[in-house]
Amino acid sequence: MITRRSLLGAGVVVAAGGIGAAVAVLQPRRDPPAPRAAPPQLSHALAREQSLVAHLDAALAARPELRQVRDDHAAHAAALRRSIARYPAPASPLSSSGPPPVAATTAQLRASELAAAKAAAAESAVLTGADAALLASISASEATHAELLA
Amino acid sequence: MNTLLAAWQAALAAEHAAVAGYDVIGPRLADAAQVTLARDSQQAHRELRDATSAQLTAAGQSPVPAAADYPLPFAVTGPLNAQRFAISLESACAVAWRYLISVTDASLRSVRADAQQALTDSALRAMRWRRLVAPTEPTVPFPGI
Repeated sequence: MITRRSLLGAGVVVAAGGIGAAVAVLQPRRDPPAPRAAPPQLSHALAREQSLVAHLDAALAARPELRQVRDDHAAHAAALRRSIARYPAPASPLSSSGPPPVAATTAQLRASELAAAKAAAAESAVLTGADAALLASISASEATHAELLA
Repeated sequence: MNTLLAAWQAALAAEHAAVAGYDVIGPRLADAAQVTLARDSQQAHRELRDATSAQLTAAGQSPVPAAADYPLPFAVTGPLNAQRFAISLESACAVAWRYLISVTDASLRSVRADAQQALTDSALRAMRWRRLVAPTEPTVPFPGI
């Protein structure tokens, strides 16, 4: 029989909250062994950030008020590069060739921000530690961009 | 207490502080729309505080109670520093929820999803206040960091 005492004694807690059906098993966190290569989620996020910077660069001439949003994405890309560089074997570079982006409409930029926020949250959800926290923060930042562009 | 539980309790403590902090902010605001923003923000923090407290109780923990007093980080005497105080409250909550994400295993999906939502919501509220204080610089690249 599993009792709360036995769970706590084993360093495990059962959490049942929220909508009621969710049950999570909480264990003291143990850092997994460092993988040899950077998680692919970081490379995917970096490619996405680089694309967003390029699209915003194309839009800046007509809409200079987008400068801070553009600079936020450049900061995201730089942070992701640093995270990837911490791994002994960097992830394979993703192809980023293609025609230069054309200036997008505000609605298109907003849709891109919403999609990026959702993708970064999903990538964060399968990672741990600093990588998860970075992508979670990037997702939150992109949600603020989307609201700003509404 | 393990790191995860300490981080979860710290997030609850930040929510308590936000609920209390908006009691100070509301009366210092003059604009009706800003008063509504403060009221809505406080209600969101109240609901998150209660939900987090219930989750910790369900997990067999004793949720941290609200503090008896919350010293102000700076004098909050009028609309401008009330807005700045709101930004600091939201930023503190964002830091707490982001930290919970950093110490929570990916298998704990509901905890992680709730923390992501809380981080995003605080980032959005901070941005709404920042638009009033610094309209040309309303966003930050890394909420919670």
